[in-house]
Amino acid sequence: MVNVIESELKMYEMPASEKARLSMRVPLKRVIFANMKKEILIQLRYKANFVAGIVQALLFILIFWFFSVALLYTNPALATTEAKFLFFLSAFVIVFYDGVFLYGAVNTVNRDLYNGTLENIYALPSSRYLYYASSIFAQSLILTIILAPFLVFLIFFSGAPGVDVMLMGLVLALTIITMVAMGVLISLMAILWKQVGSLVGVVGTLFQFVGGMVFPIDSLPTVFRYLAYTFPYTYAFDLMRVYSFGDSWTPIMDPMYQWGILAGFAIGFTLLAKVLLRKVEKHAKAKGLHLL
Amino acid sequence: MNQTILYAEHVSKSYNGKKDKVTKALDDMNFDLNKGEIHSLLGPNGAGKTTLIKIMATLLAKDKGTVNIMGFDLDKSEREIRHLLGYVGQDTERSAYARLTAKENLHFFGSMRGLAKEEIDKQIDKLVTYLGFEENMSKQFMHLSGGQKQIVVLMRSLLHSPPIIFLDEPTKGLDPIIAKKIRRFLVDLVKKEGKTLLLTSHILSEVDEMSDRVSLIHKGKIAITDTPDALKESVGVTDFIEIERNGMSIDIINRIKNLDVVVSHVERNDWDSFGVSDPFDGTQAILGILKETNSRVRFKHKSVSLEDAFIHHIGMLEESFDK
Ligand SMILES: Nc1ncnc2c1ncn2[C@@H]1O[C@H](COP(=O)(O)OP(=O)(O)OP(=O)(O)O)[C@@H](O)[C@H]1O
Ligand SMILES: [Mg+2]
Repeated sequence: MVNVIESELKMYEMPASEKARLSMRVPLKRVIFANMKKEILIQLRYKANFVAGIVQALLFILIFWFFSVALLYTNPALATTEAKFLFFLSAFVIVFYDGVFLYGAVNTVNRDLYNGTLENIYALPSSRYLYYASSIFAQSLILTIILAPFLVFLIFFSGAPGVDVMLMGLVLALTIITMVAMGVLISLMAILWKQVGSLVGVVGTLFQFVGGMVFPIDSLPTVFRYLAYTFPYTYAFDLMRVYSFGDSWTPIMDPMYQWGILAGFAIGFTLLAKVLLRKVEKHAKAKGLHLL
Repeated sequence: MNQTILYAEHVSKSYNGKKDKVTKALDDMNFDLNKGEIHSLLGPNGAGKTTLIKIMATLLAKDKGTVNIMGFDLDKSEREIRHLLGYVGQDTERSAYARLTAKENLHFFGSMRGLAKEEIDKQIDKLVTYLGFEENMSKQFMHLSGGQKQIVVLMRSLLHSPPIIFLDEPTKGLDPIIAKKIRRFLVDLVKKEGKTLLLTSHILSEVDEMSDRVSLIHKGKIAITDTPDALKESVGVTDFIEIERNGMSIDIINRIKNLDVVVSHVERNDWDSFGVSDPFDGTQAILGILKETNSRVRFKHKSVSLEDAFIHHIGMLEESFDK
């Protein structure tokens, strides 16, 4: 039996230099590279999934092409083919990355649960937020590599002015930050309640349709319209329309407000995700990580 | 003087199950590790060994108590403690990425600890050569056998050359030859590199062979901590003399039981087992009675093992618990 005084007297003392070395953070670069390599190797070993990813990308592009052309015929006054292309292109990118950002985190947790690696990840001295974020980042990079040729082709084809493309890029960036945070939030909930993982698909689709990706939200039933105002996508898609269609598009509210709301979502969700990460870890650690 | 490298004080942990069912896994436990020792945790299934290890490895939250590892408080310095520990959990079948090879897994976990590629390679080389694992390094984790997975996970826990290593049943599922090799490797590691090793095992001959000290956990408390020899001594007998019951009369058995040198008597299947306080006197006296009564029965001699000590102590604990 030990008592405090005795054990403190006999306690091994570590040299101060050693102690300092232990409190150093694991370099960001190393965590990111390790996860990139892991994700790419795993993706490549699920060959079927990899091929399916490319086929899905092609299908999406065909669908968007169809939508933009169809809209041009029904309402030729609205804007040029180029503008429509630009809008659908950006919506397409959001939707596509949305898959990675929303599902990416959940997939990472699910895979860690399936492989039983979660506990071993928690035994590591590196940051878990970074681990999740870099796994998602790596997955999106893989997607970018697949999509890049199509994107370059489409942007070139649209012939849109540089400023608009840049503003749309900014909308995209804000949306992505929000989505990463939402993804982490959802994956955290998946740690707590496994079934949450399957909810992601429903939430994602709801966001897209109610958010006005395909049909402008004005054309939705009233209930959905109010619902739409609480979704980040609504503002993202509307801003995209503003910069794609120019004056011929009537925005749902002043674009300045929309920028503000979108930025608010990005910051709010990120903070929320970080707070929840701490809460969830506490909860999971009380229950035992291996049991998940 | 023994230096304490880790201590846990008044640690309690309960798991909340369904419908307010609470399992008390650790109950005000005190535990310590000395620098450079091999310390084994023994205890029946569900005693709380894994729970204690996981708490000290930062993987499970305790309800109460303090843990200090090399001067770092568990509640304040998780990251430092994670740098200091090597950990192998009880479930190794599922504990690395199935689709990555053994080598890729080791590199991933090594990098996530902040090690450079060259450091990892160097350490892998050393371990692989010793353990004769070269040809399995490029196999995907899911294609390895249970024992091979165990070895990969063990190597993973040693990549950063930690001063303290926790191994929860490290030789479970290994064939006797590789188990022996790993035991020797671990003993070498501790003695040559001054590491401290905490392990659990249900293979008591292995615990006896390796451990400097053994702690017996019972119902969430440490019941005894001592050297394996002292534990065996505390059984109160040094040897067992076992006689096949077939053809022996109650009289003879009673005469043997009444000998001064005979301390205990248990019936085990077809055998009567007599614990004696001295192997020579005991054997001589018992054989004397058998000869005198002309009983030609089968006869065995057995030294007290750690398993006997374990059964003896757990038996006593259960008895005192029931009262
Ligand atoms: N995550 C958990 N949730 C609920 N109860 C748990 C959990 N983990 C362990 N327990 C319970 O806590 C007690 C201690 O379990 P623990 O795994 O620490 O035992 P152990 O000594 O390692 O046993 P074994 O020798 O079988 O590995 C047991 O009664 C077990 O049922
Ligand atoms: Mg256990």
